Amino acid sequence: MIRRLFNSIVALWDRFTRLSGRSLRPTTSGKWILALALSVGFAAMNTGNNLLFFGWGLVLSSIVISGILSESTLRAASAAPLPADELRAGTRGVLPVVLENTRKVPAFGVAISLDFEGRVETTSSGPERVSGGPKAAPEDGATSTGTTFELRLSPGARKKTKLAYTPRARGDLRVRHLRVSTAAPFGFFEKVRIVEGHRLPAGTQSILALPERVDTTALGHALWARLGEAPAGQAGAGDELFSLRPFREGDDPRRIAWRRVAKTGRLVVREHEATRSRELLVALRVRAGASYEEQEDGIATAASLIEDLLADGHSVGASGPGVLVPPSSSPRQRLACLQALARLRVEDESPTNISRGAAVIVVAVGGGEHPDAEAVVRPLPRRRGAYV
Amino acid sequence: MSSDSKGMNLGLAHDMGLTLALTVSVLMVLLGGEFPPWMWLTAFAPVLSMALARRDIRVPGIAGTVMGLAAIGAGMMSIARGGLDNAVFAGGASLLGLLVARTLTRQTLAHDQQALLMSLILVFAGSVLNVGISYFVFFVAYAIAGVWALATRQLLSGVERAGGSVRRTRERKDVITPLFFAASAGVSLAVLAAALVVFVSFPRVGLGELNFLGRRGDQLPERVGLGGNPRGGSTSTVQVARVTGVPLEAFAKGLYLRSNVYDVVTLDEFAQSPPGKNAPVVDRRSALPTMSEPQTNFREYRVALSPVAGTNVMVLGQTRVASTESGGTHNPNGSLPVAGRDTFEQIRTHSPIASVLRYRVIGKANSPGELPRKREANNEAVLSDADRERYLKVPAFDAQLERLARAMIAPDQLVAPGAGWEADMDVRVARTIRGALLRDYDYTLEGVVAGRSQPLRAFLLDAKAGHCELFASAYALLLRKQGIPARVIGGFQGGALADADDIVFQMRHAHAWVEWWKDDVGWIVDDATPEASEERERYQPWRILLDAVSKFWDDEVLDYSLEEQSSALRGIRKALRGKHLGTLLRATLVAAPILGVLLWLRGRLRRRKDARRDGDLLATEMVRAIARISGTTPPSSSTLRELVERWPRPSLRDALLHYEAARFGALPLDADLRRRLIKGLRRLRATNSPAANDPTAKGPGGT
Repeated sequence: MIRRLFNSIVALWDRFTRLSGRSLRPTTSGKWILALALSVGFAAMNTGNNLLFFGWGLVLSSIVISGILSESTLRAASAAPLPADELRAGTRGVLPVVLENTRKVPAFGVAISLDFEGRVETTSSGPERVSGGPKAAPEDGATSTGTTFELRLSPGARKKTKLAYTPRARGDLRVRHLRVSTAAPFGFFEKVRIVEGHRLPAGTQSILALPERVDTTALGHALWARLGEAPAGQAGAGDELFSLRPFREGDDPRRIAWRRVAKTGRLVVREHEATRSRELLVALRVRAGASYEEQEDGIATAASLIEDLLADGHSVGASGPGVLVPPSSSPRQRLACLQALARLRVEDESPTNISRGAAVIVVAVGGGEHPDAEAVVRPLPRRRGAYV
Repeated sequence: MSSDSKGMNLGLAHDMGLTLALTVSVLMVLLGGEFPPWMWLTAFAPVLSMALARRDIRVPGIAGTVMGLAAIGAGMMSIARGGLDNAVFAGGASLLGLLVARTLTRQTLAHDQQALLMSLILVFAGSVLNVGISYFVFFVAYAIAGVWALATRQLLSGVERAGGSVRRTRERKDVITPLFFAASAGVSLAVLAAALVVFVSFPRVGLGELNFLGRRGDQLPERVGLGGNPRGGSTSTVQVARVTGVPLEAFAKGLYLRSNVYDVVTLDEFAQSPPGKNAPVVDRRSALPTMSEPQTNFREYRVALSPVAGTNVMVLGQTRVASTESGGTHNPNGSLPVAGRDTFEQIRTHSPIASVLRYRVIGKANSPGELPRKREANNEAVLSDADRERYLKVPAFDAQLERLARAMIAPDQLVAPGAGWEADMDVRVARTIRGALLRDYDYTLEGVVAGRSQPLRAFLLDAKAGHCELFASAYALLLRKQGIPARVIGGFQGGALADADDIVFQMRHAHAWVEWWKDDVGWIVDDATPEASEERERYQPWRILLDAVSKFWDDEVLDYSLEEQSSALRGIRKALRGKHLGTLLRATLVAAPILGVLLWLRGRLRRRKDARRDGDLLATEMVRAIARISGTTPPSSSTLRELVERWPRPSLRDALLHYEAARFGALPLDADLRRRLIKGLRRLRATNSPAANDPTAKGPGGT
């Protein structure tokens, strides 16, 4: 009976906070103040000690006025996230947020945070732990950003601020709530205004966490040495003879093919064939039964390798389950590949006939045979910082 | 982080607020006067702590732990020694110690929070330990300083929680501006006003008491040593009692507010014989039938007695009736009844007086040496043999004292017999001894016999000067030596005239005098102290004002009870039942709907105005964007919808939709949404040049 009553009160309170878009949580000192208010109130009413009534009135009125002022602060402060810069899983990034005081009085002590929902890497002890504890399968859950705190917002002020955030896993993260909170003026209660994610401006309702970065620099160089370069099919700087052509004003006399000149009597020069890097396709192959951690290691390795190879000037593409980004060395290629890998779902179908002349580098998760591969890379563990 | 030099350093402001709040809370308790003087050192701890913190000097935490444990230990010892009666005193002392420990060793914002919470508990303890008006003055100061300290602490704590640098934030000067000062002062006032509402409105329904925890205010001891400094030398202006209804002529003769009766008189002290203050109440009529007097000589007067004398109810003399009107307990709903007369002939209550006790007395204001006008036998004036024996008990006199006693009443010294009672031998002896003391001995408040053995002997034989306690005990002993039962009375004498019939007794009026027994008459009030006959004093006007405030505090604040709340409610109801009630109700009935409609219209107009203004801003941006896209100025003859349909763009369509809703549908345009839409339009303007658009579109102006 009592349990049912308690549950219904809790449900009623939840409903009220949902409808009002507010939540209220006592701080440590708030809990003490509440306890004092209850005990002193009982003592004062029972004993009629009027001076105790003064003290009790002080406590009660500060609680009430604290509520009024915090509400006023929350109404004055309006916040909206801005489109985020690049975010990498496992790396501390920042989310820009614009904070505005819409009233004619200053607002004090406003804190902002964002709650996300999406694929969250969890551990046995909860979603927030970064290291330690056995890994469990990914599941839907929530994470929160750090909090940014504004001491004072002048009337009408508009301020851009940043929230620190370390995404725990790659992928799309939908903003569940934007929380504008304040404990002003006394710090007894923290009142939070919750803005639902779907009410936020388009483009700020979700963020994409790119795959985690691992160190593949050495691996990239090794692959470069192994795969070499391909003839470009045009004249240029290279070692192989490409053609002979008539001498033109300004040609280097050392390039004159004297034998040919002697044979034909025409002044010709040698042209070499230019080389270019080979088109590379980094293909992620995930064997059935691979653990979640192995899958993520593979994705992080593939993404980092693509970044390094692109940085070295190669034409690189990406493939994997449900993903095919043709090789290219354009400036947008890096982001295209990383975004594709960020959204990769291992259960999707892998594309077939992906080579099309490009050298295939397979990042193999869980081993297996890869006859089409020119190089097979074993994924690098993300958090140990060393090759295996 | 900006650090404009407009205001006060945030860290300094926090330290100042905290220091002030802590100091004030300590003073609230100390001003109750329950603690020994050295405890006043604790009031300096917050200032010392601030000075140390500003110089980055840290007191090691272990020192705080030791101090805190010592404070708790001292409190427990105090309870062990004084019992539960000492609970609040011991608790207050422990809390003071803990607060000092916490204050001196504070290093983090959490420590500041703990100190503030302790100070709040001290404020609650102060409500029992200090019931003077100083409590309220410091309460107001505490509310202001507390708001200040909490607000600044909360700001610093927010930075700390968000992972910012508290040290850097403390240096900021753009937060504590004059506006912040004004705002926090406003908040303090609001808190105080709300506290006042709580004070006034919450019903005092309980029957509980707190005085079992409080210390008993008893400043009249059971035993008074004559070798010490006189209590009558006090200059304390603490109010003891306010007596109303006494005629001026009685005041001019000198009033004697009777409290303690001392039956044991020796050469070293006067005291109450066991059971002392635990003497049983033997007569529940609250009467002192000591002297025959016609009923017409009895007057009614009222006394408001502060809790300074334990269970003793003070009266001006012979008393027929003493009955409580109100007060006496911590709970203003209750009142402490007058129990009756005990074996020392003191009028008593059953339990110690804990707050101002208001009682009515029908009796006489006795003057020194006053005897009934008519020589009639008083049937009530009977002294039992046992009482006669204890009031005649004298210590052994040495030869010198014996000579002095004999010399004082030598036949040539005896006053001449007069008419009526004055012809009586006992009366003549008393008058003679009193005359000798007044004539041959000087009054002084200097402790001329302090530290000497048998101080009374030294007073009578050597010093020949002393204070009231020496005069009273000497007079009582010399009377007893002559076979006249006598006793020393402790109480207050004289008083100060505050109003026409309003006399105030303060601690500085403490006095000792004598009552001696006359068969067929009863106990006669008498005083041999020279100072007692001096001219009466009047209250200074400023003291009258202060006393009025003090009286208001006692009557309207400390004793504000459920009865007064009920009577206030009845008063309101009565006022509403008056002849104007109907008019008032009719006017309200008419005015309320009109006011409601006006407010609704005002809100609606304001919303429309806001929507129109927002819509206008949006429309301007839309026109600008269209002008950029089309390369010409859109004609004023076209509507926005026509223009948007001609140059359709997603951001234009979106803006149009919201513009129309705001302009024509009076749907308020959310500020964020408006900003976003305008931003989109500006982006559209920036990315569109006339060349980039439809080359055939020349705009409505061109057609």
